[in-house]
Amino acid sequence: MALVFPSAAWADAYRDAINANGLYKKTAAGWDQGAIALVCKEEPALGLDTKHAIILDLHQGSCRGVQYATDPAALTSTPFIIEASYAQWKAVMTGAVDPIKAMLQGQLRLTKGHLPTIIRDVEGSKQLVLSARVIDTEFLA
Amino acid sequence: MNATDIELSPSASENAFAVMMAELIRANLADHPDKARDFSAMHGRVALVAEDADTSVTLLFSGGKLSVHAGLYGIPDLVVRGPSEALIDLSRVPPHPRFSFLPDFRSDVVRSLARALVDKKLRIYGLVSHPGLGLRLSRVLSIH
Repeated sequence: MALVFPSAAWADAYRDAINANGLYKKTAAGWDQGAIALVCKEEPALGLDTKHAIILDLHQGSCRGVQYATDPAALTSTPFIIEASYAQWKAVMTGAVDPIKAMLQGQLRLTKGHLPTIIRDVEGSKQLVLSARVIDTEFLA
Repeated sequence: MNATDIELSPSASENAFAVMMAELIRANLADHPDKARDFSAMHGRVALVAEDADTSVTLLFSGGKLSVHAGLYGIPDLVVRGPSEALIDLSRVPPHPRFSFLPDFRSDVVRSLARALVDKKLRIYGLVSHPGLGLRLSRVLSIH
């Protein structure tokens, strides 16, 4: 059954997909910098009146937990935030756009966090995003 | 070196690639104060062209100052053209373990870049006439 993006059920499936991604495990083995939040901007036309965040507790190639949040307060202690519009997340998740290319084009933006740290683990970050492609996802538009 | 030594031109503030390059170099100089010596010695224009992303920036170095411009700005001394991934890899080049002024040629990142150069996916123009600028650029861009 397809899971709606974004939703708590989708977030749980994403955690499982990350942990099942052998390439993520390998390329992010050195990651010990804490959580990364993937944030979808407000999109009132799609019923998303606030930002929706999927906060991933990442450590050395695995996802220890996931939190689905619509309260901005949940992001205050998250060291890294990557933000994009709904259409841009969809483009990356469906494989229409490469995540690194999307960053250079400003479609995905690191709005919080130390850029060199993300670049150091760019392969892991890429695999993190690519993990979403295996989820049977129902998009709002 | 302080934050005001690196500035975005007005045209670059909306260009994600330009913002990223300015932030990257600013962070590298803050994290590794030893890079200030290279930064101060750099003079010239470097154009970085991400062909697959259809975006480019020009880095104008002038003895300890850097202004980042969106697109091609003036006549560059060095031009680096290639896919986004290769341009990001330029900032992941580790230093040689013994000769830190050189890249570590045995690293996976350098091998990957060398492959891209051989395959002509990555092209660097002006390196022969501006080797010092190229070498210093690699150190200032490097996150290591």
